[in-house]
Amino acid sequence: MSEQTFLVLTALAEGSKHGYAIVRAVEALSEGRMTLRVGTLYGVLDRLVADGWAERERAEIHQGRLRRYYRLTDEGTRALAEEARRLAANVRAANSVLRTRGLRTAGGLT
Amino acid sequence: MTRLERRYRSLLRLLPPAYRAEREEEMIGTVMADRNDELDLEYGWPGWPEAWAVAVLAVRTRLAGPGGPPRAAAHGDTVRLVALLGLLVSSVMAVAAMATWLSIVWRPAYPADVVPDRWIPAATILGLAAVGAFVLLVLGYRLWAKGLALVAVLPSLVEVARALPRGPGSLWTVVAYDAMTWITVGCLFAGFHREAPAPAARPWLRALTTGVGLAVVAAAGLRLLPLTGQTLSPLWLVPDLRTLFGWMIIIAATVCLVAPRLRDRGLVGPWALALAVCAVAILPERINFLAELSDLSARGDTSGIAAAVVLGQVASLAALVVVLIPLGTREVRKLPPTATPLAG
Repeated sequence: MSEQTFLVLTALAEGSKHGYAIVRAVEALSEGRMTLRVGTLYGVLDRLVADGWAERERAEIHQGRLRRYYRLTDEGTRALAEEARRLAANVRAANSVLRTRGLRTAGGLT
Repeated sequence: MTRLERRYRSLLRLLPPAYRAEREEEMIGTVMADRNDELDLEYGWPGWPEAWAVAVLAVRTRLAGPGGPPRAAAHGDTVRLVALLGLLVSSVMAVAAMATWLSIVWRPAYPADVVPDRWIPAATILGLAAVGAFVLLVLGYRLWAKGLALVAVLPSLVEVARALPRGPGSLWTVVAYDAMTWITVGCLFAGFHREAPAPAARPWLRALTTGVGLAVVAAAGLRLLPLTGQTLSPLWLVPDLRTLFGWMIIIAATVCLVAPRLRDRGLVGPWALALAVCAVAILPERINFLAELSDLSARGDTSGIAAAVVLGQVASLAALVVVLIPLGTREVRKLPPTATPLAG
């Protein structure tokens, strides 16, 4: 799973969102490291919908602009949880190695 | 409508009409949501990163995988077939080039003036990367395949650099010779995106082993042919792999035109278009070769048979292009442009 997909899934796990809200959420979740371009966002959303991990919800008009909401499916939630578990295991392993070498870990602990 | 919005809508024209009809307003809403500065609305533009993202999305949606709209998937299949056929041919050519070079170097009676310069062995070895690219592609290692394909294309770029100072004639020869290679790499990068299906490994690997066997036999054939001074025997056409490739396209295109099974399985459109692209890609080289043979024939350095054979091939390829493009286009247009209607 790419970092973009992971962050979009995480953003949708907070609740259903429209495109612009997803872009902002991804920026916040990545602490400003990742700015999703709109072309990229819709590529990711297409894949998520095709894989059954997200689905289109309602559409609304906001200030004369179309907004379509997306929400995470149960399958998407499971995929995100599985990926989070995998990443957490990797982080634990890396921290453990760093600790044995006496280096500070990402969390600031030694 | 602001100028910025107009510019973004122009950029979105890269996307297929069906996709745009579904998504344009939504995308415009997303991109314009935080652009409120009046100067930006008047003079701003979406930006290079956004333009690149839309271009990538356009390639992915126009050359879709099996999950996409049937017509876009057929276009995608066409491009992927060109990439596979091109890489297959490049692989066989690379093996043939290596075998031929070895046969030339080791043939003691070969005239000294045709012993290749130092660049040839390096180009021959780099060209072998095409074999790795093809094998890795059909085995599913796309990123590595693309990397190796770039390595394999390096010799042709060096040839362009070497031909530039020699004038337009030399440059045309290089372009004609390497057009297929460049088209192949372009199709590989465009067609084999993340959603593209994996090619069936077994038939393509079987084709590679057959082609490589043929290349080795062809190289051995070159060693057996007599070198009678400056006279070029028409027999040289038999082991000439580019001539063989031309015949193969002609045979495959004829099968494509007459085989009802291909039509039943919906394969005619992509195969007809892919073979037409391959024919167009090798035509400049064939025409160039025909001109060389005609010159040799006019000087009495070869009989007119070789030129006549290649002329027949050029005419057949051109005729097939004229037949295949309308056929392929018609078959692909029969497919629906959109997938199942989007929910919500």
